[in-house]
Amino acid sequence: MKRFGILLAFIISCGKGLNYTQNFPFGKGYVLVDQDGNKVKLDEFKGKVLVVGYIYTHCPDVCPLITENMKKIYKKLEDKGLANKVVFLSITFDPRRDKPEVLKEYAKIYGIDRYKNWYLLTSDQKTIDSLMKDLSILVEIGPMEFTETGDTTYFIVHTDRIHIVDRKGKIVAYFKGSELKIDDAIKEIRRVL
Amino acid sequence: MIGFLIASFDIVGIWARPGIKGGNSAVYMIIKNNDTLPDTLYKAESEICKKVEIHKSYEDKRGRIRMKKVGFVVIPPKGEFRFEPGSYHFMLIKLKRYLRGGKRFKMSLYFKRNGKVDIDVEVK
Repeated sequence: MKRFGILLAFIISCGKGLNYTQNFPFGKGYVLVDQDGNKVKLDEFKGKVLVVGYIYTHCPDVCPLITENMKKIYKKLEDKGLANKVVFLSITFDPRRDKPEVLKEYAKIYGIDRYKNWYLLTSDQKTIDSLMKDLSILVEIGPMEFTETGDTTYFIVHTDRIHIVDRKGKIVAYFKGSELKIDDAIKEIRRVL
Repeated sequence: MIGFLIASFDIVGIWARPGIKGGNSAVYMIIKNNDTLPDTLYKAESEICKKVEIHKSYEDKRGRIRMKKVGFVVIPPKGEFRFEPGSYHFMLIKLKRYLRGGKRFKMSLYFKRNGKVDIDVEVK
C-alpha cells in the first residue's frame, strides 16, 4: 500500500495523469476555424509535435496562466532554435463567444500574434463538445450572471490542461496547464522532436 | 511595483491581466494590514468594467477549475491577504475597453473600518 502511494505521488509529481496512452483525435474529421477565419482540418497537424492548451477568452484567472505558460514554453524553444519545429494550438471550449475575431484580439493582447505557428482554434458548439470529450477535457457552463446594468455573462468550469503530442498523434505528456514547470514540458518536447 | 500606503494598509504588487473589450480580466495585489485590528474588504468597483467581484479559483475533486464568488475577505491584524493568480482575485466583468499591457486604470476598494481606498492598477 505504501509502495502504491509512493508510485501515485511520483505519477502526480510528473504532472501526468493515468490516461497516459491517450491519442490526439486525428482521423475523426474535425474541422476548426483559426484566428484569421481560415478553416483548418485538425488532421493537418498530424505528423507535427504539438503543444495544445484548452482555454476560453473570458476566463480571467486560470486560462491566462495556461496561455502564459505556453508562451514561456515557446520562448524557451525559441532560445534553443526549436520553436519552428513545434506547433502550438490554443483550442477554445467557449465557441459561442470565442469567434475568430475574438481569438485574434486575444492573441494580440497576450503578444502571441507574432508567432506564426500558433493557432487559436474555434468551431461550432457540437464540434467543440465532441472534441473536448475525445480529449477528456471536462467543460461545464456555469449559470448566467447579471451586472447591475442587466448585462449577462457566464463562467465555465473546466479541466486545466496542456498536452504534448508526438508526430504519431500520441499524447505523450499532459500537465496541469496553469502550474506546470516549463523545463518539464521542454524535456517532454525534446524527447519527441 | 506599484504600492499604496493608506491609513494602516500597504497595498503592493497591484496589477491586472490584459483583457478584451466586452470580456473579463483579473486584478491582483497584496494587502498588508499594519494595524492591530482586522479589517474587512467587502466591495470593489472600477469604471473600466460593468462589475467587479471578489472571486476565488480552485480545483474541484474531479480536477476541474472552478471559480466562486466571495462576499468579503478579512485582512488579519499585522498580517496580509494575497490576491494572486490561481486563487483570490478581483474579477473585472464586461470590460468597457481593451486592457493592453502598460495601460493604467483606477479601482476603488471598500473596507469596513478604513472606508473607500482608491488605487491605481497597471496592466501587465
